Amino acid sequence: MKTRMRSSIWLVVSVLAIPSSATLVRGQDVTLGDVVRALQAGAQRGKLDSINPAAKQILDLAAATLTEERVLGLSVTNVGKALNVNAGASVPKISIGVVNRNSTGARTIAFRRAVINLQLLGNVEIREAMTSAGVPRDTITAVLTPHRALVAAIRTAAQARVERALSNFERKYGPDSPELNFVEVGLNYVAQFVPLFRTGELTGPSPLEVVASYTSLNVKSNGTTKSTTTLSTGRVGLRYYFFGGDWGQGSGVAHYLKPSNMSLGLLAVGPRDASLRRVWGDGSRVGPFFGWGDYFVGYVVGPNRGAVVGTQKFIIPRVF
Amino acid sequence: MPPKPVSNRWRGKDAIVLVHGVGNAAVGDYADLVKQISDVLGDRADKFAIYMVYYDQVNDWFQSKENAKVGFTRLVQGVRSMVANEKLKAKDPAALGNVISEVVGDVIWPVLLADARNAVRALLVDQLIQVVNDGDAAGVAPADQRISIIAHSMGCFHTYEVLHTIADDPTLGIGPASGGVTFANVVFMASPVRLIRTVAEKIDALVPQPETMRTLSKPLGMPMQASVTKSVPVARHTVSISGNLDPVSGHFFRAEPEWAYTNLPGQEVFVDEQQLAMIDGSDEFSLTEILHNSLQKRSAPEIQPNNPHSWDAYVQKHAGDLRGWLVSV
Repeated sequence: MKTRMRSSIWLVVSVLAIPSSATLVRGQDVTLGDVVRALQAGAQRGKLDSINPAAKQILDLAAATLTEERVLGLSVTNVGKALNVNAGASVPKISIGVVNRNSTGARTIAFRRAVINLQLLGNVEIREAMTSAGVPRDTITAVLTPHRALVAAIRTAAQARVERALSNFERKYGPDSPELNFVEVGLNYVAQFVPLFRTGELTGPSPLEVVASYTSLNVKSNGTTKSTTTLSTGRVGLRYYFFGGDWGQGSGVAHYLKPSNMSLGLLAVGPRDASLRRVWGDGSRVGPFFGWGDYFVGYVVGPNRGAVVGTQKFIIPRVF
Repeated sequence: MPPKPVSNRWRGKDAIVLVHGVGNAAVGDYADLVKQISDVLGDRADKFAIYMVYYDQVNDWFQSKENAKVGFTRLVQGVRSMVANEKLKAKDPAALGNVISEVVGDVIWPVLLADARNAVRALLVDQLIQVVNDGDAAGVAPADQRISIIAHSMGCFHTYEVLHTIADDPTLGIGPASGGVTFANVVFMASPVRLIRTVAEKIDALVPQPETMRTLSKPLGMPMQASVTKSVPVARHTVSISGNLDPVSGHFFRAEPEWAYTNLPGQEVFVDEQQLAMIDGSDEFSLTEILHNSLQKRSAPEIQPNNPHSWDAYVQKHAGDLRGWLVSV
């Protein structure tokens, strides 16, 4: 009897402690602690321990995981963001643990699992338990208001993640991205099977791209004659896209200072400094190159060594 | 700029998301279809927020970057010939070979390029989150929202994939367990999902990251989302509408081969009886009627070819059904 009365008092206190819906409009005012208390109140109202003891156990485990004051004081907005950092399709099934005191956010697996369990319980098991216990719909809505704020915050963070991914896709594939020639199309198709080049399902593409191009808008210094000449070059290497920030977004000088990509690799020129000649085979000279946006610089060693400056753009689209 | 999701004002608890098929749809191109859906809803139309998802801009990125029309097509041709060269072990390899030749160009894109697949998926997820957010902003709790999706052709494939993604990734917060959102209706019109699975199975070694393509990596079926002690369905009501002359929907001259028709367990099925042409404005006719009408009018019958894959024709034919599902389910 005493226990039941204590539980009832606790329930009333818990429900009263739930912030008003006006406060909940601003997700940062709702804390993870509010969510835990709301779900515990809902579980009690719905008699979850008798209707679905397994669910009650998981709720208790989640609550036991999230006991630190610092963690319970996290706003749901920050919880949503923490959950959507590197979020993937699967979350390891760890139901209890201690949040790593040294973690900067709250990114531990145990934390993730506990928060996701709270998210799921509020939408399914606890809501169903309250419904089957005859709790009026309005009361269910009121009790679960902090949980709704948590889910809304997770959704908002997920949307930011997905839009970031879309933005990265556009940077790598959009109209302003470097064109690929036939060889590069094939090589980049094959590269999809290499882990380094894998795309995240909803986190965006790999920042890497294979470069294998032959271009003719290049100038080379001649170390012997102290003169310059135009020539064709072949380049093999990797392009790296700068995701996030305003890389590749500017025009004018900003376009050159902060391009969407850089590249690194090997540069090859033919036996003679000349345009539209083969750059591989006997007598060809090689050296490193570094690309910054549309332009690159390189240095070839061997006979008639010298620096090469060029553009990665093609004279004939897709060819060279 | 990457495409931004459309935001609409909700006037009731209902929303419809329309997902188009292959083509070159620019924003606004499906205004007539949106109007058609509004007409179907009649006096209830103003209670629905209608969203049209345009994703061809994303497809265009890949076509341009990868030089689809020339370079990638060669790769596709290679795949085609490989498939056609009797590496198929289907019951009807000749028919399958023909079908693959017809539709492979459209379906191969998201099959062979993981990034193309995932970019469209990101766009659709973004839009669906926005739909739920719009409803929430209008004071409709996710659990009370009645969101229906009507997809056509390749839109069915992307929708199917996205629904599985939503179910698999609770951090998106728009599944039945993760977000309290259960889609009221998912209507697939001329779905090529099974056909794509068949093609992808035949070239599975060429499919990158197959685990992210649920059409290939899982048994076909509408997804369930796992909560802590039970699984709940992503959609309350699933419908498949196809035509018996529509090859994209897995029908070849009225035949419905098992390897081509998308038969999801539990879905409500409609297979429309289609005609290749309309005669005197009707697709239901007999020789006697045609002769009778011609003699009466003293003119030759007017013959108009039908497009068996037409989205608006499917909508028109099932206007009554659609209204029933959208309004009452």
